[in-house]
Amino acid sequence: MELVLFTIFAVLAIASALVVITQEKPIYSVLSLVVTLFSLAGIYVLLNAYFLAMIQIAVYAGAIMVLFLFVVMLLNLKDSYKIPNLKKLLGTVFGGAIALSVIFSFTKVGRALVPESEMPAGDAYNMGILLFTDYVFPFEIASILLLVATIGAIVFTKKQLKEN
Amino acid sequence: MDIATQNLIFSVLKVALVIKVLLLGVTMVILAERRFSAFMQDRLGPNRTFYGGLGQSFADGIKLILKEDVIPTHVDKLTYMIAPIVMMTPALMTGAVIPFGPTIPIAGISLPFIGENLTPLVLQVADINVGLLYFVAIASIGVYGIVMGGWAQNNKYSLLGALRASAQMVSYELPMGLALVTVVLMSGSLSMNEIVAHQQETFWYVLNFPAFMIFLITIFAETNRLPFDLAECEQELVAGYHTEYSSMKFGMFLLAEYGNIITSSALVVTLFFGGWDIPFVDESALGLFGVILSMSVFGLKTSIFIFIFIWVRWSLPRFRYDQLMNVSWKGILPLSILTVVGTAVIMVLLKNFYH
Amino acid sequence: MATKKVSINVKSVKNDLYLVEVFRGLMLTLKHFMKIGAHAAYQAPLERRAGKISTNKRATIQYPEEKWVPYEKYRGLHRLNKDEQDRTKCVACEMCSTACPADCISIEAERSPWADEYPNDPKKEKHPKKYEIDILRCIFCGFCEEACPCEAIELTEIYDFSAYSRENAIYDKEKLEIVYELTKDGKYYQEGRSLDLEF
Repeated sequence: MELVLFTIFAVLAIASALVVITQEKPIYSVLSLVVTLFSLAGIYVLLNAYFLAMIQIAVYAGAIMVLFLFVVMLLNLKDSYKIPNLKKLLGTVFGGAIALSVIFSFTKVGRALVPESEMPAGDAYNMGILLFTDYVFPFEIASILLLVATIGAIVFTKKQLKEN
Repeated sequence: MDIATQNLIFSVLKVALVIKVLLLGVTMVILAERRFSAFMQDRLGPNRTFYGGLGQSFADGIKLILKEDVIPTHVDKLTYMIAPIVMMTPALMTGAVIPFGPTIPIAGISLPFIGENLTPLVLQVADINVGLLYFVAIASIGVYGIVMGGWAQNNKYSLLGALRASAQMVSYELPMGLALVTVVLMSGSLSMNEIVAHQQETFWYVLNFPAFMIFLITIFAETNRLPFDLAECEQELVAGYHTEYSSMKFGMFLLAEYGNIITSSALVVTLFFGGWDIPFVDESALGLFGVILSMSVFGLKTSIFIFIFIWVRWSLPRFRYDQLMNVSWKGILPLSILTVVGTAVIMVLLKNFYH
Repeated sequence: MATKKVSINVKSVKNDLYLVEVFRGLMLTLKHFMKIGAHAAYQAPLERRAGKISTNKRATIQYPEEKWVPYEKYRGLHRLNKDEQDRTKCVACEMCSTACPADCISIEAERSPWADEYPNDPKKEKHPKKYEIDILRCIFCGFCEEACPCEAIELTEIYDFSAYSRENAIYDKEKLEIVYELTKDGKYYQEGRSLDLEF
């Protein structure tokens, strides 16, 4: 039963992820990304990580993707958008880097970098304890990253306002 | 019979019950809305079909099903078809985590067809330990139906409705989340059953009145009801996101709206009014009668909130778009942060005082 | 009428709080809800069982059972008046069809059977052989009534008339005279009559 569900969710996740990058209509890309996030949440549920699954849906599918949709609909992007070569190059480099780091994290060397935890995953209590003890450094780094991104966005808008 | 099979049987029965109650409830809520709004405007409302208009919603449903299903040529077919389903599903899904009665202690008692019961029967479809978060997750995806429907129709009014809906959802989810955080602060649990149990032991969380008010206001916004129905806003946007839907597709948008009202009311009752709890009465001492009584009390409380939904809709004018944003970001959000901080302080003080 | 100037301090604390006014609005609708709802739930079924139509407080008129009585100058369905000898008053002068902006009246005149009785009265010389009003085209402006020199055509208070076919929506002389019989005392709706024409 679990294997069947896992297969369904995994195939769905990969298929919709492929649709995200192949689809020409931006709105379809966004919607299939939502499907990817949902299937990921389904896999989390299969791992008994209910908390993570719900947060995944609430934050990513519920808030961030809605914002994406908002932007896509507001900008009314043209159906097909030709990507300039420089962007393609940059995309390959960074995408490859991310893929490599993901693969690296599965190797023995990579695993040794992250502290292993014996606590059972799943509910909010254990998750909170893990986040504020073992993983407090990555957690804080992530929040600083978000802060930097927010400040960056504000700086960009201010610059444009001055030009106008 | 082993536990797994028994659980499966009971789960299927409970799912069937919840969906039945929701769908039948929707017809009744639609009728109630039409008649109550009529009374508020010194009219009578539909009172001809079956005793006092009770059959009106069924007649309308039959009409909607039999009507021609027009699909305009300029729509994006795929999203146009999916949107009503995406709208309808979350409305029914929320019902899964709401406990509608106390646990029935039938463990060890043998029932016909099922044999000896191995577990007590929990009157809740899915007793997951993150029920509250489940609600937040489902509520947040409710907007996709509106956005997809609005975009698929390929006309500017629907698109504007969808835009407004998405912006509104994002703005009101934050204060709603914070109001739920206060509930978690008080109960110490994310499970709906434990929240109800904790309220039974201590006090109804409505005593934390600011949190309750914030939650009620945001839930109005989340269900796209007046005074926050900018997404469909007849005067400005024709009918917003469901302008070009006809037949049962339109009917499903309607069902979703009223299904949301029922589940939201049930949720307000569960989180702030003790769920199925009858104050000053020990339900477990009354046996099966107590279970039925508790379920009826839960239904009664939910009905009161459904009435409040209808009442508010027919009393208040719609917000302007900038007012809507101001109310959320400059009014409710700071207030809800204040409420969270205040509740946290009070809870710590209470704990230190008593232990 | 003199306009009364009301100064509203929009920026008051009370308005900023919003909730006070919300509460007042809610109470107003609740008052109406209680009044009409209680009446519809309790009193009205009792009265209906007793064979009465209850009209208390509400604005709704329950149409087939109760009917709205139009005001005096309401312009509804036409009628053709008759004189004391039960002859039609119309002299087929075609003033009405000339005045009609919708061009819905068609008249064919002939020498009236009673013309010989009044050799010197031009008003008795002709009468309509055919007098038809196409109700589907009529806009109920009442110009025909104003144009008529001998008060033969009039608009009545009847508003609920209908037909199953276009042919039946053409009112000829007989029908218009039936309407006259039904409405000559001006109590069509008070007496609860209904227009029962062959459709």
